[in-house]
Amino acid sequence: MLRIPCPYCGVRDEDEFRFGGQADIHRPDPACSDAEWADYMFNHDNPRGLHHELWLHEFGCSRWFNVLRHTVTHEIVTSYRIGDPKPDTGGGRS
Amino acid sequence: MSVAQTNRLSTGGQIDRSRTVTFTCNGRRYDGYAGDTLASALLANRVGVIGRSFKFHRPRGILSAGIEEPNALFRVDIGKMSMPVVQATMQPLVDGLVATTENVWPSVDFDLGRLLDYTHGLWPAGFYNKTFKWPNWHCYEGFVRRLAGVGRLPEGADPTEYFQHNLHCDVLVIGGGPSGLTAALAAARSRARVVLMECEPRLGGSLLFEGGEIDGRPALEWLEHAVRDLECMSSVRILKNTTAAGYYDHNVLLAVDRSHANQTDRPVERLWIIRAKQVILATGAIEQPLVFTHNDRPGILLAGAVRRYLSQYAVTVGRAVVIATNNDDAYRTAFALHDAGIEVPAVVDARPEPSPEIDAQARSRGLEVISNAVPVDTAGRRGIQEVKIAQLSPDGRPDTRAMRTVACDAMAMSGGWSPTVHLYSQAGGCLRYDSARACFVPDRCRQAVRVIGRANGNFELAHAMEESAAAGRAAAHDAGFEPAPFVAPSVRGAPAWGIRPVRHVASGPSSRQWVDFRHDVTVADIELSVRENYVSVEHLKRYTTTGMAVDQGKTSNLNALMLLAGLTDRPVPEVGTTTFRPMYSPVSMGAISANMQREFYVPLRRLPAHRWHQTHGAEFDDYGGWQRPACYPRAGESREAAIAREVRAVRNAVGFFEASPLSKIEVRGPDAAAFLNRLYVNNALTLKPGRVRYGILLNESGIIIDDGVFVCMAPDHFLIYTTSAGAQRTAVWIDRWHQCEWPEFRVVISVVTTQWAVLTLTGPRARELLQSFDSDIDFSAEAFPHMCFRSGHFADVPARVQRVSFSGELSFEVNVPAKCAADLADSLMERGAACGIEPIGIESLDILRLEKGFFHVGIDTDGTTNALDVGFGNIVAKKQEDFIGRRSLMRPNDQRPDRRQIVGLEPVNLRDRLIAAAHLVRSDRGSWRSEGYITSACFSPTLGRSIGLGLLEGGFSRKGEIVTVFNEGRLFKARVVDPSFYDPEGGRMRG
Amino acid sequence: MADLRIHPLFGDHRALVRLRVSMSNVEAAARALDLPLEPLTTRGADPLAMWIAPDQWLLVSGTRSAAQLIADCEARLHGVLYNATDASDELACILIEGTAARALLAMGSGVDFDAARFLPGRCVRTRLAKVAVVVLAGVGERFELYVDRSVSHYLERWLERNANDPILPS
Repeated sequence: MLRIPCPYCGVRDEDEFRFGGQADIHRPDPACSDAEWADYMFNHDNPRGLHHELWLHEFGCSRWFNVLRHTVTHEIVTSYRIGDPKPDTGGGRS
Repeated sequence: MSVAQTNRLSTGGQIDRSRTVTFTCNGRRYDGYAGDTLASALLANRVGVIGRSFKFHRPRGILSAGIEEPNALFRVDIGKMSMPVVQATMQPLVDGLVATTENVWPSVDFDLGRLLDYTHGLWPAGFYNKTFKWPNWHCYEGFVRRLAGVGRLPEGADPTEYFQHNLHCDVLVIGGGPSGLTAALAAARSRARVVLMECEPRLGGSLLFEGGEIDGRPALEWLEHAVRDLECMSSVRILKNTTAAGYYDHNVLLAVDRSHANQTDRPVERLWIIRAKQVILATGAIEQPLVFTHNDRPGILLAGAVRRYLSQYAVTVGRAVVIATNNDDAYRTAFALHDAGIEVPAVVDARPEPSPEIDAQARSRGLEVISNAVPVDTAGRRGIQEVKIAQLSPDGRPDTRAMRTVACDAMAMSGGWSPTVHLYSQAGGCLRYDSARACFVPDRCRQAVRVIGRANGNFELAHAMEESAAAGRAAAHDAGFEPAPFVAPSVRGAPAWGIRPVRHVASGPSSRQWVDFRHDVTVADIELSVRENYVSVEHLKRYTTTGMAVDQGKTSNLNALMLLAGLTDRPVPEVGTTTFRPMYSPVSMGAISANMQREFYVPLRRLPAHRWHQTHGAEFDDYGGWQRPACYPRAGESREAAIAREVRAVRNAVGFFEASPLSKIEVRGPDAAAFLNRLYVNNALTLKPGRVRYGILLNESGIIIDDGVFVCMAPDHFLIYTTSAGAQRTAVWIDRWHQCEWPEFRVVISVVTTQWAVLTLTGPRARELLQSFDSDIDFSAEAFPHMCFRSGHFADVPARVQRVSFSGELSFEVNVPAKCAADLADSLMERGAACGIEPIGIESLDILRLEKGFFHVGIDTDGTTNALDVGFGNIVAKKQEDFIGRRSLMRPNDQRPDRRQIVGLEPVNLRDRLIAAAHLVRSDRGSWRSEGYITSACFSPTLGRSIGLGLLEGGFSRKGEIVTVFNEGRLFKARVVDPSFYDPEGGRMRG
Repeated sequence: MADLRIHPLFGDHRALVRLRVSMSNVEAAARALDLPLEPLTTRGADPLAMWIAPDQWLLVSGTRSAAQLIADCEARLHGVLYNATDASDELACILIEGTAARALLAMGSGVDFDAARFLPGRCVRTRLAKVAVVVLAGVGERFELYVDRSVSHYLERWLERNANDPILPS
């Protein structure tokens, strides 16, 4: 079980949260090509290392926020509010 | 009749001799004392053979005194409580305990399964993969499983109660031995919240039996003071009888607490889930056996265990005990036995000589030390009676020409100690092989964990105490506390520690040299594994099953991998260890599911008028997490008849249905209409106040995820209704779009689902009934047309009413505050009696909507059904603005005319009945293939025939076609029709 | 027996109002209605305002009706984008008190209910016994649990069942 730091409520158990996939995936203009649309829909990162993720504190404040998590060690480097600047991951993705 | 405790010493030990405890083992009654474990009491009573091995059914005796025990497994019955596969070494002795050896026939003393042992050559590792192939494994399975079982599950209800607790602490110390106690004391001085966990009933660990002096006091006295100090501190919590079984990410640990597990009147087990800022592992070490021919004979124990039985329980394992060792530590067993007056015929040491001080002590006691020698075989009928000893020649092989035989009735062996690193490994810690101490020790770990004492390979107590004090202070500091001064306890007479890593000496038949006692894995099996190229330690484990039994190889893994290293000519670190995974020791399923059993498994939700439905004879079912009335059968009425009656009531009079679980979401703000327009396929911009519109919601792939009506209450205030089953999911989904993608929409979203009860009146006489109530809402057809919304008061309570219909009849959904639901239901039924009102359940509603041809999202649509597949093509084409899913609908594949589309179906032959999930099939070049399936079907009480909805390839263009239904091996014909079976013009609904 | 009293407040006639405010208007709303901005805290007595989320509060009043509370919001939240909805029927309140109360709460939720941390006047929305619950700490080891009425029967049974653990302080 992970312990996830909600930027609003503090650290809570994983079972209060809902996972929302990769963070910062934004909807392209619908006038885009099929290829661009496919990128938005399906071609997401799946790194072995640090990953920016979206989580919802469903059983707490009901806010979505971002988590920077290491996909191998599960270490959570930081969490930050939507709209806050992306934290520095120390270059690269691992 | 009880038997005398012949192996109990007349004095000493920490048992309560004033309290005799009577227990039964394999049908015989014995006495022990309070403070005994089942194992110590059996040894006190000279019970040698306590079980049979897993595969060859060889007689086995107790090997150890702790959690590593592979042999002494019993089914234990205490009162009504019954547990299979209990380690006798961990089972406190309680009055009336009944221990039974399982997996033996007819008895533990005479087991016919032993025949397997006499034919052991036939059953090598992986034998069942090789031997039982003809004609197939299943012919043998029953027989093999019966022989190979480890225990029977107890029958009947489990009398044990289980509870789960969450616990937070700054410093968690696991292990209540000298190191753990010292670390806990050091950490607690700084006022950090400390939890000290010990798997045995008493704190103290090795202090309970090793003697020595700490801080100038006898060890036991120091222990007493240390425990009292800890107990006085309010920031310290001591959990005894509690085994840490799992170490997970983010310093979350799981532990099983058996403090109340042996209460005869009310057994209780407890699961602790601990979140620790800092963890200190003081889990000690486990002694490893020596591997030689017939090393599994009853009477051969680990040396440390022999010492422990002697000093903690005042039990000797025999009258003449041979010591076999490769290290100094086992000498302490020899000394303790000798000092207690037990004969020690020989100390067999694989090393050229012990440490000088040990040597001096041995000499002063006059013990015969046979240096540079190893045991090579044992003999004895029901237990060890003699041991054969050979000198090691310079090349490290035993010289079998000059063997010596020593008579004995027990043997204490030691292959050295291996740190208990299981939890450390589970935490993600890496291990390092320490060749000087011939064991794996903790190296580095990313989690906030420290390892101290013997668990860290620190076998000398004085050093361990210093290390522990420092670790306690450092952990408190890292948890955010100012460390308080703490002086490490001083230890006198720290024993020397030297080891020669000789554990296995190749002499005699390797098929009679045991590595894993529980799973009967021998050196021969490991040799076979290597011959067949299973040389990875993980392959070796699975091929030979070594370390895979309930004891998880606590006394076998290290020997197995050292053998593997030798056989493959690799250094030990290169071979490595297998992965340690939770659980460290077995955890009952009851404890795992502690607070979540039976009615607590899923919190089933209740309707606001739940009691009302109960008193009106509702038959409840679980619908999407809600307990809802399926129907209201009258006395003697079948379910089917009740449902049909309810359908007729709606078609002819009026039905009352509670629809409260419908999700209700308010969207308020200047951009509310624009936001809804983005969510729905349907146009929200053109909806006027007081009007209601039906809409479907798609995900970004264009797939239908929910539907329902939305209401314009005011230009800046909308109310969304979605399906009951999707309520939570859809509310989260809508909020997510606003929070993450379109925060620029000036709206506020509020979920009001359970504030409002929804009482639906449906049927031709619904209006007449509502008009008979006091209300400021005009229910007349002119003032309140179909698809309209009105708010006001109804029967003196605030009400929101929309005129929408899921049944195809005139319907009003009356929303009132939830607490008013039951009273209003009473009034409605009372006044409705004149109109022929009947309460209706979900089952009849499902038939009503099917007759009308309304689809149900998630039932009549699946994960491939897009907006176009349910006939929303015109609406999609007409809408100018963007909405979720729109872009995906523009992909060619989403517009293919041969997609599965929703259709109505009826059987050609009226005797046939459509059934949901039956496939629609067609013959394609001689073979059948599915072209869709029936999604809903029923026998319509209104129409008197079988009807259904289905998804059919190219369905829209196939009206009137005959298709083939395949149901449970039978084929029959059905006709594709328009889905509106009942009142297709909608006159009744709009009337 | 554990020192624990569990009372469902079935006859609870207090008014509850949920207030949700646009994220950009949070400070303005807090000023106008004297709402707590610090997470997990409460403010005021009647109405008591509990912090639920950075954009949500739960208002509780024993003297005023929900309609009055909503009218108050209307009167004082000029230019603020918000929605105040009656939650008096949505939420049920279960009271637990006694020296074992904190331990009982900890059986259902991973929140740290330690006496030195979860002080009187604090509140927290969490997952307790699998359902969403707002826990409000009162004085004297007294806690109010606000839970959706549709699962209050379940939560009450759950609390009663788990109060039987012999390890709870008596």
